[in-house]
Amino acid sequence: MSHSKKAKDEPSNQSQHIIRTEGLTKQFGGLTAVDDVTYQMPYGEINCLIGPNGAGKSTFFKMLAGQLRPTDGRIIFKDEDITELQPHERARRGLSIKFQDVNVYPELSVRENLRIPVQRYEQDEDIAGAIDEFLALIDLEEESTSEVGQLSHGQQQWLEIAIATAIEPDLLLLDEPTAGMSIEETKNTGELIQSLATQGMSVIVVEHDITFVEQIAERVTVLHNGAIFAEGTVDEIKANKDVQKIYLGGE
Amino acid sequence: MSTVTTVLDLLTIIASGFGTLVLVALGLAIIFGMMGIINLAHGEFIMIGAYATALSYQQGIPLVLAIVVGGFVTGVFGVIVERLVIQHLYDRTIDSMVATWGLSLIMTQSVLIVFGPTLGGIGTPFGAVSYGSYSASIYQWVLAAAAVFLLSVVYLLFNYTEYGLHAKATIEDEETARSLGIDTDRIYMITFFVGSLLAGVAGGLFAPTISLVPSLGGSYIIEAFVTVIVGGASVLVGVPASGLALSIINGGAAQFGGALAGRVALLVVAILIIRLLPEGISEYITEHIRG
Amino acid sequence: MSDKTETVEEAAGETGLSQRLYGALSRFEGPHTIGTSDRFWLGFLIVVATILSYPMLASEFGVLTTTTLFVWVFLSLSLSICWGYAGIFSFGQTAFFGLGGYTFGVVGINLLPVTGGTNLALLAAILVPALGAAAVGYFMFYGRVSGVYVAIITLAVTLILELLFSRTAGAEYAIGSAQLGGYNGMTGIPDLTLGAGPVVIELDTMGTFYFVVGLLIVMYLALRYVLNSNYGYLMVATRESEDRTETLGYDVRLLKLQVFTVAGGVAGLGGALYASTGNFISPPIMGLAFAALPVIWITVGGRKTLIGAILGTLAVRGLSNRLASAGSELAVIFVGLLLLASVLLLPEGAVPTINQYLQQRFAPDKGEQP
Repeated sequence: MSHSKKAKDEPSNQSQHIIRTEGLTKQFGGLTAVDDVTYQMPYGEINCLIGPNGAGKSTFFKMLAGQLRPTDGRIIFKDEDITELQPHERARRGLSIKFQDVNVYPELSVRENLRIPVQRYEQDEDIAGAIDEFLALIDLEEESTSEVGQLSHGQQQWLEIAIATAIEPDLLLLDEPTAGMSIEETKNTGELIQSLATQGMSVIVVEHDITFVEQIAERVTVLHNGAIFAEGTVDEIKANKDVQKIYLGGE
Repeated sequence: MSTVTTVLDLLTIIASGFGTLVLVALGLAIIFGMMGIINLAHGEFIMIGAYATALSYQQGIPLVLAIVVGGFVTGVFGVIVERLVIQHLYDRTIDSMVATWGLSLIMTQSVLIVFGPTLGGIGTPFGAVSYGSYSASIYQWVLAAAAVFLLSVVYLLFNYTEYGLHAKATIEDEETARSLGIDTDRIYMITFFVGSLLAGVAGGLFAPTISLVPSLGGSYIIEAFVTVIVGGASVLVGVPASGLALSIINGGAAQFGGALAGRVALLVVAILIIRLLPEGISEYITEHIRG
Repeated sequence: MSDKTETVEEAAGETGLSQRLYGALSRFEGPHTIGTSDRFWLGFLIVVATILSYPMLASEFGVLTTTTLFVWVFLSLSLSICWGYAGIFSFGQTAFFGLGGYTFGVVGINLLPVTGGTNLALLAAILVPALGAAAVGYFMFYGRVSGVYVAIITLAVTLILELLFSRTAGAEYAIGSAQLGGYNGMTGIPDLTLGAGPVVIELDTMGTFYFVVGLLIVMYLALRYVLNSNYGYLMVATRESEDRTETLGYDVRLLKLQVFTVAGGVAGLGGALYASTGNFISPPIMGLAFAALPVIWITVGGRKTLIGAILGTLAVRGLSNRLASAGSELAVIFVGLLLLASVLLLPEGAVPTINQYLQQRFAPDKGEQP
């Protein structure tokens, strides 16, 4: 499978950040959803983006993916300014996103869902095999010909993660991947993400589930009112009184 | 269409166009905004209103009352359609277009079979008033006034009645509305009644000026459809704004090339507005006022 | 829904020639078209043979009527391609159909005396609407217009064309020696006259029938091939979720533009055939009533499959023709009821529903299609 990954990349002559933003801002009419965010993430890291509801996390993600145009600021991905690029151009450069709402192809089977990203990278005769490998990765081999509507919510989420991974991205953006999952499923999702990271993928995860964040995060970024409120390791953030306050402060 | 010889003539043409567009579009816009339904049989609803009005008038009922009758008959008919067809199609915009097109075929042909190819006409009330060397028909201004009147009624309905309150909550968030105890099914039914009634009233208002044939709806549906989409999500801002803009374009172009040029210009401008203002005129206006 | 590889493997064990035949056939099969078994292709051959022998048994009038029916199928297929498969709800394919007819008329009338044939006219009738579709498509898709807004823009386009062409009465509205004819339309459009050099055939009624049917079969097979290829999967992916497909690295704007352009060309070809079989074309063909017709036909038949589009057109149009010529006023009501019933009760369309039923009845374990 050509999805095999190089070891954690240490690119030389390049910055050590796979993605960074400079002054990224998004305003809707009079409302500022994302406020002058300067964010950076090193290669190969798992970074969790947390914050109260309405903090701007999803808006931030959508700008990274190209679905929303920033009002101001720049996005630099692998040392290239991608601010003006269309979503598909970003995907081709190795940026993949899985959105909050389950967005699989509703009327296609599980196999067909995976085929769409896979067929870009594989020769015809290898397509079926590549799909099988992804099915094994997310434990859906038996359901391969089922329609996605028949899958459980957790299985649909995994399918989405697999689809997002199937385009062989360098950076994977996951927006609330464990929403609606059981504790068991959440733990498995965490392990899945960690194994992807071991293979060299950088991951940013928007999450609400603190246990999950503790399980997988190497660093945590806290957004509040559209701006970066705090950054650090899981322990540092957990000990941060101000962070506790913004969560409890009745947002 | 006579050439413009005064500002008054021009204003009359625009007012008349405005009145017509708002009247045909208002009911359709309310239904689209509330339920995500495009009723392509809307023109036929207008026809029902026109026919009901004409038949009542021919029975001796005074015109204004006949128009109200026309509105109510169409409203009731709308409720039947809503229960049988529309309620299965909420938020399925494309499907609703296709289904209601089928409905429009059935309605046009049925009226043709039952009432024959024409009902005749019922004559313009008030007649034409001479203005020195040129005429202006008061009725065109009556249509514009009626349009403004109905807009106000709709405004009052949505802001000062219990139905209006519930309706706005339902548009905002249907699930929350239901959990608050609002019978959303009933809201949709009433909304479709209101939209159909408005279509019927429009038909009744047009009845004195047109010849009553079963296919009369066909000449209104395009304008209605275009005005609604160009207007955007907010009915009370979008419909009049769109009606005004398009009637100016239509009237202006018609001066140079006749009715046909007017229609072409209206369609071309509509295409451009849809492309440039994807949320419609109303969003553009509200965003710029707010920001 | 069988994977392509399964059908080939099923056929393995045959001798070299049949194996290659099955291998080739498998490229025409897939989950997006109906029919993946031997039984289907056998049935297909039988149907084709029946159609081809029809002119020998029927009256000239019957042949002409049937030819016209088949010409409408081109319009339906063009809508099925862009709406059924790629999710682009165009309410204005008649714009390209009419444009094709008028182009064929203009080029044909002017060039026939010069070249002796209508080959160029036919080619132009495909290219001009395709270019038009490309322009409209670029305007819409690169402006991120979608959904009902595409419907209204395409409807507006076809109505604008209807209005403009109605305005062309009078001798000054002519291109070369071809009078556009205003609301009454363009007359004197030549029959199809094909060939080159010494072999030039002017097609009579029967010849036209065979030409149209032949084109349709070729088009059907070509579409099957494309729709079951990677590109076909992309079309369906775009239909199912544009956003998703885009974030997987595909330029959906370009894809929709391509599909819409091809659909425009197919409609234009249909228009040319329409104009040449009737020797006539007029603006109402691009009006609201006609614009809705392919929507009706493929909704009833099933827009997401080619056979659904084809059979829906033949059945509904054929039936309403019959009813109308029998003097029944109920033809229109019948069509309206059919449309309502389809949207409310059989959203997939008649053909896929029947196909699924037959599948369950006759091959429930194998999951094969009849």
